Amino acid sequence: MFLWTMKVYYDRDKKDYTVTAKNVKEMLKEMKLLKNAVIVVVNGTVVTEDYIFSKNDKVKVLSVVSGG
Amino acid sequence: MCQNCQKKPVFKLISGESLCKNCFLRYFEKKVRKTIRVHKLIDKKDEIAVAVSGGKDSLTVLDLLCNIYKENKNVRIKALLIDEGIDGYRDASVAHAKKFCKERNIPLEIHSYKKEFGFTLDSVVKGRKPCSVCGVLRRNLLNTHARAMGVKKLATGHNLDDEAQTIIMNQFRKNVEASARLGPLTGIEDHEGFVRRIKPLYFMSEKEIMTYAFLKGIVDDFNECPYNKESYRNQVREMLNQFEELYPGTKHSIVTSFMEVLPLLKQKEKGNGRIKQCQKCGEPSSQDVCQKCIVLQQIKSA
Repeated sequence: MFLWTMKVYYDRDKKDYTVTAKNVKEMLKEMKLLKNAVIVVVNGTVVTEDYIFSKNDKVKVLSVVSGG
Repeated sequence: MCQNCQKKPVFKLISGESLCKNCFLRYFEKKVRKTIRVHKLIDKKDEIAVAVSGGKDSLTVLDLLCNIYKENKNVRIKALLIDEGIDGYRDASVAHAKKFCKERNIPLEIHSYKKEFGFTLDSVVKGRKPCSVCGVLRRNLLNTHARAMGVKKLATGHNLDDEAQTIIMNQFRKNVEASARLGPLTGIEDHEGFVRRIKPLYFMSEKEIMTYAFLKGIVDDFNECPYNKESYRNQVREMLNQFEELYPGTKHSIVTSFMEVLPLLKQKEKGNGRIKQCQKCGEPSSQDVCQKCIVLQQIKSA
């Protein structure tokens, strides 16, 4: 399992973050996000917190908060 | 891997079981159908208006109901949208809702604060709690227009997170009467002036709905009401999300334990004769003057 440094787009903040992590769980912890408040999309597919990153993964974090 | 078919998982349930895309979609739809069936949300010949905002929750309800009842010509589905007039937010969600309904050939009615009350929400919130003003006025318009559309039920996108927040907010504010009106089928008893609201997503979490909406291509770009962050509800939401992280299943436990006492609450409030007619507008109200008229008077005299 490798440690990757990658750009992660978070839609609620509408910006990219640079994050170093092995898997989704670690990434969310580093971004200080709660797993029940977001879903994570890697290369266009929804993944669970157990997903292990690979080189060149494109990662997006989408907030699940209702708009209001 | 998915517990059923060994494919890549898209969702991990509280129980720890993982589900792939197809198994998750089946799980989600089955659970919503069960909610509708067990709580008798929709009758065989109901005409339903779905209150849409353009967000993931309401469009998921609309999409699901259209699919569930596509073979049943006796259940007719329409959409109803209230435009509060929130700059930089509502325009995008109205456009998304219009596109969504047009693609699926669903009749959509749009009503606005501007046309109904003569002002936008943005223009009257200074010095007020926006969500308190908005909630009262939006509920009023949804009810009056759903009634005018002649529908039997008004479906909303309220979900497990919303309901857990509302239950806790009512507890914190010692508002038992408001809690008695909650549940998948709102209200305490039928009244000709009220269109009863149904919540098919009652037992689905926001995360489950977001996952479903994403997989079904329902999600538009993230769009959040600018007043959301300052609301009391948002503070309760953040508190519950923290608890859910530490103790998975917290929100589900709040709602399911509440469901056990809800019949007692409804029984307690039933027959209190509290539904009157507003002396100003004639709409049903628990007070002599309804909340909408009180809010409008406050805005007028400011």
